[in-house]
Amino acid sequence: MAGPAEATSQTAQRKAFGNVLVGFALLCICVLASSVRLFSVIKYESVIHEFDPYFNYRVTRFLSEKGFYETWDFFDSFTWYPLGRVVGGTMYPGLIFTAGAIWNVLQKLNIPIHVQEVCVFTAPLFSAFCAIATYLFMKEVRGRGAGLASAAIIAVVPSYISRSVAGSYDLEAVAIFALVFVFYLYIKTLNTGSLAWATALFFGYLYMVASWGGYSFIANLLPIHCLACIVFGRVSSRLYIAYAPWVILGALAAANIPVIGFNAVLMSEHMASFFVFGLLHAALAIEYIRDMLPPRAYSAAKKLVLTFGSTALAVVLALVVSYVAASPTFGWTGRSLSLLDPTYASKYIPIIASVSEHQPPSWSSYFTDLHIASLLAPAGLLLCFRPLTDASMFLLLYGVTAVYFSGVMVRLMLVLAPAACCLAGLALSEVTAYLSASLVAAQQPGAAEAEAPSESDGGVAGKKDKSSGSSAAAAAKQAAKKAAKKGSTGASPLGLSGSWKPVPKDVAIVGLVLVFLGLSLFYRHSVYVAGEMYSAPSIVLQSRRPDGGVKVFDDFREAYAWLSHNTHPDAKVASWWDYGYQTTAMANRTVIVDNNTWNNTHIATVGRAMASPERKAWQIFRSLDVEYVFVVFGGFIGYPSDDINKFLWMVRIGGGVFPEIKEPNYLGADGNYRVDDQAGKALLDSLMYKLSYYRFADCGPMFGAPRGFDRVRNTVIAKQDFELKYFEEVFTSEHWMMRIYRVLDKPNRDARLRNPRRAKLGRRAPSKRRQPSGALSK
Amino acid sequence: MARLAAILAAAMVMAGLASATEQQKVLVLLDSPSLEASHSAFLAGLRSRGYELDVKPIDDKSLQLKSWDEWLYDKLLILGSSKALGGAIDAAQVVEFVDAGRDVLLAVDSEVSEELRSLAQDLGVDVDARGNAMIDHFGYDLHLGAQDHAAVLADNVVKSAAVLPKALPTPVLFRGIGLSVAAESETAFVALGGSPTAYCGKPGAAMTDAKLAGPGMGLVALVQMRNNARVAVAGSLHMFSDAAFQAEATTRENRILGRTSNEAFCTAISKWAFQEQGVLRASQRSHRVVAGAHPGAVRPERYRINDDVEFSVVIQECADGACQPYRADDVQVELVMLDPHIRTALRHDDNGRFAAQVKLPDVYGVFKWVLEYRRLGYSFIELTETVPIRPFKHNEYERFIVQAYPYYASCASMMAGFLAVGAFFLYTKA
Repeated sequence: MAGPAEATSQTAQRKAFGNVLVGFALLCICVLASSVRLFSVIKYESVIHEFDPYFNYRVTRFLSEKGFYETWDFFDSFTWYPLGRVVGGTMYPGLIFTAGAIWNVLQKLNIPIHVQEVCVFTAPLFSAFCAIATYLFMKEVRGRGAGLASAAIIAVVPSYISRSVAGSYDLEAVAIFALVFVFYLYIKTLNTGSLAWATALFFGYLYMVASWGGYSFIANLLPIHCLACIVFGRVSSRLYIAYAPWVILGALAAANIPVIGFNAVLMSEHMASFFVFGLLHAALAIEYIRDMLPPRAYSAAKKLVLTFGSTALAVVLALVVSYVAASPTFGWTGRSLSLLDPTYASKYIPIIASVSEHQPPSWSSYFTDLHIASLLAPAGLLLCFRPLTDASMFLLLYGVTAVYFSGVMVRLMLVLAPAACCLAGLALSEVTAYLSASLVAAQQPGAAEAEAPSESDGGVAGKKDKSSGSSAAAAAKQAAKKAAKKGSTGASPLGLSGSWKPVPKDVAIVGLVLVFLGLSLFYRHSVYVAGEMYSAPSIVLQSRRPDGGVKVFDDFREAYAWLSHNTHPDAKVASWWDYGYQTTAMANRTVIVDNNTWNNTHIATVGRAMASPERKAWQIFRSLDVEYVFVVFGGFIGYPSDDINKFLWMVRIGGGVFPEIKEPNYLGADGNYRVDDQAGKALLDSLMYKLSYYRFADCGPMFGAPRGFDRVRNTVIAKQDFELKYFEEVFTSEHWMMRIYRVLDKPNRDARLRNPRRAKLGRRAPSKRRQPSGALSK
Repeated sequence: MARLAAILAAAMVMAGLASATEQQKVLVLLDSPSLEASHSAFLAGLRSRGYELDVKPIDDKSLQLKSWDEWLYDKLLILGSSKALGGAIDAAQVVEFVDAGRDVLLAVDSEVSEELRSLAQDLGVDVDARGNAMIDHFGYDLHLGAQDHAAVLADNVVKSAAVLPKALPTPVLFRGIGLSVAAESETAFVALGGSPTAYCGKPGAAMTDAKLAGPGMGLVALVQMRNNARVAVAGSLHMFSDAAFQAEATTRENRILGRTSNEAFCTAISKWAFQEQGVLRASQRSHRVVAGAHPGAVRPERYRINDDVEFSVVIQECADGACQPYRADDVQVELVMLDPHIRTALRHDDNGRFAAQVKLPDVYGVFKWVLEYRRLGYSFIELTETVPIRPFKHNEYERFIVQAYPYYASCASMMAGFLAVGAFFLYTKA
């Protein structure tokens, strides 16, 4: 009698021990996920990075001053002068409200932290949450082992790190967490069929919709999954509860975010969910009828329903098609269409094509960004079929679609990252479980008893590794791996129970060592990438000096500070749109265009001004009340992403609206873009050239280079000495990276206009040389 | 924060008016010392108007217009001819003087030096080539100009109450050189023009291709700079002289017209140039919401679309040290965002308050009130004030609209139906 009781208590104890172990591993993963993203703060400082985060930061600052309601109705008169921007209605408020809420809570707790610090550390915090969400998601799909393995991989996957280092205060920082969490809630609802979880799914989706435009990925993935379930005959009430409320409530949720509004029912992105919603009902109805009617009547009814249904469907389809065909983009937004047709943007929307993160990725970037996950993910795809459940089918579909989208845009590698990590985690846990189970089986014949030793073995091994392991990363990973193994063997023996044959002991050991080695390499790579490649804020640049020291280029902030201290608060500042957010946030000045590229014409106007000769540019800027113009120039120190290199995009975007700007005029005779003596004439006359190279030749030859040598283009510039008539240089930063010019006023006097009656002036008396006192110098 | 961007000359004008009471300093540069005696009436007139004159020869070695960063004089009067500017003054510094908002009256004659010509050119007036004189074989004065036909009776004066408040009874006697003004010039205009038969050339020599001829030729040109500094350029020294003031005008047909109008004209010119006439002053610019989001808000930070707002400004005309309410029906104000969305005339109440009430457009953005008033002879008024117009806040829309009643009804019926079905489902036994 004592035997079973003891066994039960032993099982309970083992279970408790397992729970603690999993919790501890998860905690380690979270700490790791956050801390690996702090390199940017350690190496540089706690600043907001890049471009878009500055807008989010500025709105968050506004929120911290004015509150949530004011932010919701925020009309910003500092951007897109003179159009202004209804920020509250054109932004995804999720990130900003999240950071604002955190800041408010901290204030309530009497923790006086600046809102900038909250913004900087939001992304690391949410990457820890993302690891937890991944664990939960994969636990639903395949069990705790797969969950832990996936969480351990996503914690440090470089692709995700690139968008979520401390300071990278962008929408993706919280959106990836939201994405995975919505998937978890969907699968949870699907597995349990509980309305409570369906409600949770609605709230999770609401947060996702509020956070990122990528919600439309979910809005299409869920219908695809549902459709697949219908096609493969997996329709169930659980599916209905997971899917149907989400369609209706999700559309309502989306419609309540001002930036989406009626798009939630009007744009083609959302059509699939409604279509599948109808199909699901039809499928359920057919099933219901089949249960009720005798077979003969059923086939008659089926014929009837199919006839009517297909007629009705045809009519609806015709209506939808006619509605959609009326729109030039077939009802899709430009960005979505460029996903479906990768050549669309480069053909029609240069402004989308001009953004580097909208380019297709190179093969090497898959390996850099995913590393071992890109190797393991295909294995994970296969394992999704053993066995194929609703949940694993979802993972399968997610992985396949994400691979496609990532191939279109570099930026969407970010969507692929969780999928790849989950698939890789699945593969990893299954492989490890299989190998260690084989190991155990080799030691003790009898598969049923294999579980216990393998588990304790895992614990001991984990401890051993921790004591000997040098870095926290290795320890956490090791724990995760071991835990993954345990989870798989314990929670889901399904994959192994059927017809599994253990591999020989030696093979198992070698396999485990290989897995361990691969993971070590992955971690090494990820930490290296996090520290060296993805931590640069791009607002502060560093370069290594030959003596090993670090040279810091802080020109951007220097110039923005100059603007904020030396110009009138009402001054309008023009620049290429890349720098709009930074100017409003750091210099606190009104800008003409910024990174929210909603108005192509306005951007084209600035592009046209930059591409026009000086006088015409002056007229354009005067008509926009611009007082200062700045350009980013890298020719002095060799900073390649400067305005001269972006100039062709200005020409293209400007030429798209103003046909007088023709790209060939800006190219050299050989059709190449160049600034040397072969350069196109229009380029040499353009304002951009003049503002970039004004006085450049006089700044002194560097390192024996000839006069006027541009270190980015590696040539001597064509036109070296020229004067500006309508612009006045007011500031050039230390390394010439930012050059600020004042747009001169209309002259006070109308002197020397064309006058045919003018008699020629004789020899003029030379101007006198006066001393500062006003007296004549002797 | 009301954001005002005003390129407003009023500050400068007010400075001018304020210091008019404290005696403004005028540097008078004379080509030759004898001019002080020959032009005593004109100079005395200036003194009597309250200017402190500092009379110096034009080529004085100690001339100084500026000491360190301070201008030593408020106005500059040059009665110049062939001599160059002496001391520390040169054309560039006079231009700087004007750009600093100070006024210059420059009179030259046929012997004009190249330096003064280039100065005039920098100020926007082109003086004819040295040695030329204005000749009119049909309009000369019978007694004074019989010999060379170069003393002319000119009556082609500018029609602007700001320059000449009263019409001149007789012509102006003019002996000197012609000027011209570029056709596109927004700043310069001719105050005294030639007659259709006048031309500028060498006296006594035949001329077939005079560059300057007819009404397009100027004898006296006035320039109103964009910063509202004023410059007068006269092609004659003689017209300011006592002799010309006293002369009797006699037409070629020997019709005696009486005393010339030189004194009145020259006084008017100097008054105009020294900001005593034709000065408009805009003040108390304001705008308020009449009906809308915040009725009664004065100079609000921003409007809401479709608000009813009122723009108002007080414009006064200052002459001879006193300001009167300005009366005109052609003052307009615009509400501009890229294009003018509203352009409307301002109505005045005879006390100088100009106001207009408008309904804002149904467009949001950063709008500017722009009042740009440029009339011949008057100082420019250019006011801009930026006021963003915001859209409705999310809770400012109407809560219930008539058109949506079918929708409300469908919602209500849906809820009622759900309740009914729910009750039926729960409380009936199958």
